[in-house]
Amino acid sequence: MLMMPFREFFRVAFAGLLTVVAFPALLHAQLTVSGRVTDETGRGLPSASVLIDGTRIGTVTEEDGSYRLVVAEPAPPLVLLIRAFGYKPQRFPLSATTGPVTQNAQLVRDILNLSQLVITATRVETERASLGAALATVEGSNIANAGVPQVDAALAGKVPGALVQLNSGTPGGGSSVRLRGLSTISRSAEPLYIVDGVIVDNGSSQLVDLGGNTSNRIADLDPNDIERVEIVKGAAAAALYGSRANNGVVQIFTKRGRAGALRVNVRTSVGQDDLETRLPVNQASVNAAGAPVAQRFDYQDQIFQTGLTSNTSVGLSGGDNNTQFYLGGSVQTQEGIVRTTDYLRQNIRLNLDRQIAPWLKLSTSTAYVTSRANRQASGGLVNNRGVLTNFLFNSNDRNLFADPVTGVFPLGQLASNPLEVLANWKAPQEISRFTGGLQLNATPFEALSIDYRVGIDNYTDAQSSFVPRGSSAPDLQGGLAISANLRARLLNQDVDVTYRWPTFGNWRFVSGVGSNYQQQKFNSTLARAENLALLVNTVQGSTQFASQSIDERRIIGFYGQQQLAYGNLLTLTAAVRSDASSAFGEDERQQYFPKFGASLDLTEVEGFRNFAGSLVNRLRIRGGLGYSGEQPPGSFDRLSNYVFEPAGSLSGVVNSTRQGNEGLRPERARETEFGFDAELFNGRVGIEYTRFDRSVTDLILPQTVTPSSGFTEQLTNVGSLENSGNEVLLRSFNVQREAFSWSTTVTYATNNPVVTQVASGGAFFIPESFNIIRVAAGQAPGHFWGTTYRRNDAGQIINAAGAPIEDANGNITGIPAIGPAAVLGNPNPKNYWSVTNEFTVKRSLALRVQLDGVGGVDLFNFDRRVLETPFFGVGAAYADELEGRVPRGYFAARRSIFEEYIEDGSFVKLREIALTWTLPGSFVEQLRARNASITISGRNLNTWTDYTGWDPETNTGGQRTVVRGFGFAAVPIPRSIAFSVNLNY
Amino acid sequence: MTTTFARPARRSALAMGMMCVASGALLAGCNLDIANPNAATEVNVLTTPAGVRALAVGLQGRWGNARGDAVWIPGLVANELGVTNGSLAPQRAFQNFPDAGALTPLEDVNVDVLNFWSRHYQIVRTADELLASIEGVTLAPGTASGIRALAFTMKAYAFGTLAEAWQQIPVDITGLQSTFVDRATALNTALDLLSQARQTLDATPASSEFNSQLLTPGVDLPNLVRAWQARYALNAGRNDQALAFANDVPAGATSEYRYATADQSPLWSVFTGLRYFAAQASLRTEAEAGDTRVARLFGPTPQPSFGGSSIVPVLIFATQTEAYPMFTQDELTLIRAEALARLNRLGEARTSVNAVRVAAGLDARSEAQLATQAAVLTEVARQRRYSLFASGLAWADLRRFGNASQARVNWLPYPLNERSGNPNTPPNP
Repeated sequence: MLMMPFREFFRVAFAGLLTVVAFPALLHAQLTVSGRVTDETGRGLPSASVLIDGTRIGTVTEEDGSYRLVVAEPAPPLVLLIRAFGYKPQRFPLSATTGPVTQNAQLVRDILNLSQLVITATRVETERASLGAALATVEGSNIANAGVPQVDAALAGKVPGALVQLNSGTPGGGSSVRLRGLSTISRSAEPLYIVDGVIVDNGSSQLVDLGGNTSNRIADLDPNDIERVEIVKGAAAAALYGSRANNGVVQIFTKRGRAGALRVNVRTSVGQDDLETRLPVNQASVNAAGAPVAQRFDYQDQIFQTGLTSNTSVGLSGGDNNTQFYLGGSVQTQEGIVRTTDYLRQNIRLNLDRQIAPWLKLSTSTAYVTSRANRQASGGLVNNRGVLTNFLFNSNDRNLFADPVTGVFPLGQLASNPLEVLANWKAPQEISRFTGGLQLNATPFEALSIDYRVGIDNYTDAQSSFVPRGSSAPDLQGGLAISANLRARLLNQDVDVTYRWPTFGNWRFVSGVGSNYQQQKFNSTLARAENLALLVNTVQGSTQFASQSIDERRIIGFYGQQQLAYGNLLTLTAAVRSDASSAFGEDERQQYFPKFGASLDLTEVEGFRNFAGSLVNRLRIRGGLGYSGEQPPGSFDRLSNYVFEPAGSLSGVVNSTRQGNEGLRPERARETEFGFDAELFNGRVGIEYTRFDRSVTDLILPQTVTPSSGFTEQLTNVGSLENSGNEVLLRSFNVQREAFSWSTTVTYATNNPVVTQVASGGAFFIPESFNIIRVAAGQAPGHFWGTTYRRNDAGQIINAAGAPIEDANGNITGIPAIGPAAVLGNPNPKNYWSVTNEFTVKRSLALRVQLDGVGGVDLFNFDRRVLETPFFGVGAAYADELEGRVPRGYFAARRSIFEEYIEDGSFVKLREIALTWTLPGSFVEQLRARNASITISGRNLNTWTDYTGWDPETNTGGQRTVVRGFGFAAVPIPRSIAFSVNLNY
Repeated sequence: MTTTFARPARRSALAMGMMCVASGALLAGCNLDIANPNAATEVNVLTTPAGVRALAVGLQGRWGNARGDAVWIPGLVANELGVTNGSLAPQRAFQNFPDAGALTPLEDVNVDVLNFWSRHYQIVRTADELLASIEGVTLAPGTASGIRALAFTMKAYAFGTLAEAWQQIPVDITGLQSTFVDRATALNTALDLLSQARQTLDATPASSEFNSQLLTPGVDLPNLVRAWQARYALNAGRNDQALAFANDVPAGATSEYRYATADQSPLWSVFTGLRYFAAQASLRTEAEAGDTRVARLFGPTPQPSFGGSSIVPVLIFATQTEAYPMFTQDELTLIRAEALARLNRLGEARTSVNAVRVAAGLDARSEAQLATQAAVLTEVARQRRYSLFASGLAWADLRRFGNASQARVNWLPYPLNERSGNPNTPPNP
């Protein structure tokens, strides 16, 4: 029933397409241009675009670089423009207007991709070299080859200034992207995601509490469908996205069809995931009472497994000059490294382009995804009954295996028995999502282009949790069943109008105006039952509870932009975006976000060229200033709401104790950035450098209200924070020969967010962080705060009597005393970097090695705290006390000293290693393929770190904004290897 | 295509309209004032009969919720209750431990000081909203008078309760910076409000719609008003008035708040669910043999508590839905006894206090045993400890019977949040 409208839509659409395709072309005096496009070594460049400049007449090159372009009605002057990704474009004026013409081209490497056309910062195709603010792009192949099913996780290490973390190793598990660090405290810090012009949701709804971590919805995208990704990191570049752009914007472009023969890409891979690090367990032969222990168990053996992964995708593309299509489908499976967890995702995408008239083009993007993840609780910020959580919470001299006769598992010591959880508990999540976009590009005359775009993102996220009757959780003997659903509907509509004024000497002017309408509705329902009916697996029990909540908002935006360029020397951009949102208070409805940018190419100045000589081939300096915003959290937070208040069996309402605020406005960032792009040594070395300074004001925080008013708090634009940093990208073509080439790319970024103002109540703890994560003026957002060791003047740790607890030989002989609470660390990394080396041998063998590093970060190793807590004592450290190497009571005292558990979380990971062999021509011919390759790849193969937990990269807080660096039973990120075959027909 | 502006933003309606057209919002309206489906808004509640009715119910719900703090805080301060363990940091600050080393400072940042204060001002706010909005909506006269009387009564209760815990309190909360009045003025305000409630009901008795649909079952509003008049008149030292008010309540009249599954008793939560509090064991050990109230109120086994006190479990508040008395005949009888004694009508006073003793299974005290005013008052105070156990009145009792110095503190500190927003807040005692 549900699919009927789509089916109907496609039937009509296809019928329409066929009619137009069959329409015979009229034959006139025509020009045929053909030739071959190659790189500096003479290798043919496939997929290069060949275009008559200023028109839409064009084609792309074949596998060997050859092309043939037919110009039906040549209107001189004709200029042939040839572009290929990673190469500088070239223009060839054509003198002939009829007959066959040959035009070959040898393109030169563009080391920093400055001539790439991008759209996200200015909403009109602009060369990167013209932008005042940095914009990063990542090629789709780099995402598909990363060997991780989540698109955002695949960006790790590929963009300077983007810190990408997989927060959990759970299959399908969530990732965080922080562009230039934090810009908010109470809001999501994830960037705004746009796919082919459609604003898509990237929520991390924790509908069922599984301990902290959740998946995020950008994981629904198939990496194989991606053509390229554009990333704008801050307000200076993202001001046109107005009140949703404080965390930057990530725009994803999916593959589109190209005129020519049908192309088929088949890609299949199989692999395995396993655990990189095991924690050493207590093997003491006595217990705390001094009695012998019969056996100690290491339940990591029962909890972890080696999981199989597979991915198969098929992409078909083709079309003629008027109609092109891309059809992609894939199936991804992943078994978790925690037993009984897995993930299955099926994607299908159809992208169509149709030239309706010479001046009018219609494009559609449609994608459907369905996924199912079988999850298990882990972590323990709220729910502490998870698997790894109870590996920590059960003393390892307890036999947790099921009774061989009755099959009954022993009760958990505190919260549950992890083996029973694995055997009987279930927590599936099912996603069903449709995204569709439709775009009309009209060019009534060449200088004017009008784009209209409408996009829909519609999904259902169904999460449930089932704990059977008689479970091993002492407090859930009656069982617990929860079923929660989130229905999300997002819609956006854009109009972009661009006018290119006639040139005036060397001056060029481009004006743009546009509008943007967004509507979002999230409807969530939850049903919960306890004391379950016997032998029933749904929500039925003697205690039942149901609830629903709806969040709906609308945003109307409008922008105007003026670009001004003088030759290739100078480009200036000024723009302003206005936003009105239903979530802003009535008194602050209309908000304005201006931006300015300038780009100056010094190498266009003759004096500089003479000075720089051959060392500097190109030097561009750029700068920008921009403002952007972040929406208030709840759509209805501005209102003084009246909430349900029962009196006995009667139903009433009273004012919510959170007072409304009709003065609520968006959080507001102001960012300046300056930088340069330099090409050195004949284009063999490129450097990009950016310095940014960001200040965010109007941070929305709860502010206490005089309680005698009958309210207790109000959301108010009261906080502020500052952040600044540097970003460097260095790329070098070390060796460029036909037989061997080697290139290196280094990214490095720093940032340093500091809260400068909070509400009048002063410092506060973040909920669900065990009162250890805190926000205070003058400190990093979400720093660790807690008890310290008591020390003497010499800095030695002392006991309650003031004597050092270590003797002269370094043996611990005393019990540490608890010192005052203090700032213990900062979980926001101060710097992060990556080094990628790529080698090719004889064009057939390619090796890519990427190392990622994070530095200047502190982590809270809560796992270790529980492991050495005497009540459980699963960790190897606790054996020291049992076997008398430290005094009795040492660990009982130490567990109250949080300083002990804040560790340096810096790490280096061997993030990606991939060896690809492009099969020789003879073999490819036997396969009847155009080309074929085989890849062996590894991801996260090794971690170098001083952190003593499972994984320094995971975070029990999941995608939460300021609960970072919290290590409490988070599923570690697996070590993955995969073997894949890629065939092109 | 409809472009409706249900409530155009004041300044930018035109700009918004132009943008709506420009954005081509074909698929949905451009109205930026989306109604909140999860909660009612001010306009819904304060200007409609249904909203005012629901608010009248909500007011009683707030009273039911505030009962937790209003019982255990005075109970701890006046040595009626004890905390069950030392880890209850904010709670244990209210208790006067025999072991002085266990005392923790009772400070203005204490979250329960704030909660006690806030919850009662939330009652005041809702009552004020009802009184302000009832003029503008059409209700049956008896329903309107019932709601008005309820609002006066609940507001009086809030001031009467706050006035026994803080030295000065605001009684007019129209702004964010209310001025403070002393205890006597606060109690007079409470008594004025109660007499307004009484006049309202006398002029127009509450309708059956009010009594059956809006008033929680178990509440006898006209007699609740009289009983609370007696209670606060006694606290205000107006003994003749207290006696008259108590006599206005017919024998057998009573009121209780009946909790329900959806509206669980906060007393069940702190006494039984969380087991935060128990009774001081002295209540049991010092009880007279044969007192039937003791076995109903207290468990037999004393347990050592934190800080040197000994406590016994509380047996009432055993279920989530157990009703809570708003006034009892015992309270009225003891009000009469106390007022008579203070008026030096000792014979009548003795009769009243003996009525309570006999009802509790004890023998009547002789004239010789209760020969002086002081002896009668001591006996009244003693009976109040048992008959009015966990009523939240123990602290006021210490003050009336001249034992204020036995309390943990003379007055609670003003919540820090009040001070940070309201410059009129007096210095802490």
